[in-house]
Amino acid sequence: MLIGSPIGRRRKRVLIHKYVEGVEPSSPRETLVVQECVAPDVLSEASQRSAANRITSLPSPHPRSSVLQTRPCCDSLKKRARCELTVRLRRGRGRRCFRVHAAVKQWRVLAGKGFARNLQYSASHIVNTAASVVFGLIYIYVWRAVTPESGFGAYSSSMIAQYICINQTTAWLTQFGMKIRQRMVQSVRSGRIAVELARPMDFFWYNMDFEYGSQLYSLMFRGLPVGFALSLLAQLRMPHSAIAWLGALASLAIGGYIGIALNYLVGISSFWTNEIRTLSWALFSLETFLGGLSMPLEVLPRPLELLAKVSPFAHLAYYPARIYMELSEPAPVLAAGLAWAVVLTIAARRVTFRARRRLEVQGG
Amino acid sequence: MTQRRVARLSAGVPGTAAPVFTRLRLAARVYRVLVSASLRGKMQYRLDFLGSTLIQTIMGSDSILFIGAVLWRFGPVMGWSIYDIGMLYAVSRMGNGLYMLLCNELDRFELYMVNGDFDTLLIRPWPTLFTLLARGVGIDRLSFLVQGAAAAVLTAPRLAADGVIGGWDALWLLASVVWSAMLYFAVGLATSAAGFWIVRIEELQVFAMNAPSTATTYPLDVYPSWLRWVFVTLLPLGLGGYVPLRFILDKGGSPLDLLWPALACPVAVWAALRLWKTGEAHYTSTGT
Repeated sequence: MLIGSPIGRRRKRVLIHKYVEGVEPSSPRETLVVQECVAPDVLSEASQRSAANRITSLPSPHPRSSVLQTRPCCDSLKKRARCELTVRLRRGRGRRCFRVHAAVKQWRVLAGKGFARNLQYSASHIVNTAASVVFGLIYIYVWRAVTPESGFGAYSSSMIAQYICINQTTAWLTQFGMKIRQRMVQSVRSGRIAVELARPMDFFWYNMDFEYGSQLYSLMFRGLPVGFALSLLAQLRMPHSAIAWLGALASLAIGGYIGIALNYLVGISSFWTNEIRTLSWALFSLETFLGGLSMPLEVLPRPLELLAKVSPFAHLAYYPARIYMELSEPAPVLAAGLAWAVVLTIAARRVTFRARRRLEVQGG
Repeated sequence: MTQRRVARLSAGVPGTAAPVFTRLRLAARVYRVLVSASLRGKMQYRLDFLGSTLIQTIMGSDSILFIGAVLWRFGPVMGWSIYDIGMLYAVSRMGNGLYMLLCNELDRFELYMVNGDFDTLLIRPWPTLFTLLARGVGIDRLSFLVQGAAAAVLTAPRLAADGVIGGWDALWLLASVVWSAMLYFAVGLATSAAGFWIVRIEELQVFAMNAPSTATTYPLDVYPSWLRWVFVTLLPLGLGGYVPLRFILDKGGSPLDLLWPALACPVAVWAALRLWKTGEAHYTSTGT
């Protein structure tokens, strides 16, 4: 142990954290400190018992840790240190800034993995992108046929085409291609959920981070090509102001978060029902209809329009498109979106808490 | 008892010397036995089945709700009133529903390829397609049929009152449902057959089935000519619904519009079956 060491607790923690990040200690004394800190006797008894299981579920080592990877003893030490750090964080013993930093790192690692996993399905994604272009064409042509020459409300015929084009692009982040529901159902059915819940990180954030990375891939490699193809037909116009750009991006990011949280809530219902097809259908229809994916919400009858606008679904497609087209002020929309994000996060975490108690592990 | 039953059922296996009629009779019997077994399995959770069918029926009507909201706001599209489009939706949806009901396993065919389950079909004494279709009836897809039937019930009286459809047109509408189902089967079978080469077909199904299925619930008049051509030739789901209904509902066309689907459907099914046979010969198991 480090009793009597001239290096303080805070400095030790920073050193360990850097070590986990892949930064080699800069002096022999720091090396000694790190090695002692991550020695097995520092790990608590409980964490030692479950370390073997937990290590398998931890994110892979950071690529920058090439120096450490060359040393045979470092891999296991690093994993132990990471495990211990995560345990400490979960127990709330870390400082706040340290926790934020770890959360950001967790998001980066898990989102990166979700992103990278999709790269292996690029061929099938190309076919799906073509299908999405066809869907976009269908809606654009239908709208061109029905929209009066004078337009309606704030929308001209050309603006409707742009609206469809934007939504067919952004929906790849907020709605299309989400696997979180199916992944959770399969985990519950196979009993793998026990391992996932045992991971030393929050179940909700783990799924959120992983899925967000996956959806970012979808946006970049599936949504943007669709948007580019449709923009040739829709003559997509760029926003004039930087505020509209920033507002649209922020609204889209919040929309992605809300979309994943809604899907998470449907997915976690499998802890109770084991079958979520009905709820999935319901969610898909609500997202499509009240989200304004294929039509501006102003088309709906007035009471339904008002209901849709205050629902979280409108943040999946309608509001990001409106802000991009400079038809809505970003500030109130973002505030409402953030409020929904907070509400859904609280709901998801509470449901997760109950689900943990309710869980019956299947399989063997 | 069981052995006697199996022996009886195997007596009409293709390739044996039994007469055609006997083989067909036995095929129907085997189909009935397999389907009833599948139904019994699916109906274990009756309440879940009823609930999911009801909710799917209500919530899965998004495309008709979309066009309903649009027409409510803007009036007829290219001369097609909400009742005309409702009938077009009904025919297309019921055709899709029939396909999903009878050929549900084709929709899940990717799993057979990925998991290697197709191997088990190859060792059965019946054609693989027959065994595949008999393995599961899409009873949980009844919602499609219910949606279509509801749209037909809601729109037909008004169309009849307006003199758009008469007595004989009901027969043509029913025939259109059958043609539509046959075209869904042909496209679905061809898409599944592609799985023998590319294994993963889910995305292809979205492209070849879902996109045209959505497109053909609207009048094809709204699309440019090249896209119309695609939906009546390459992905011909529009041929079963839009083409005959164009004539039946007095939206132009000629009596030949009733003939084209009748000619095209058998050809499309035959071509899809040939593709299936060819693909089956090229099948390589992924193992189990």
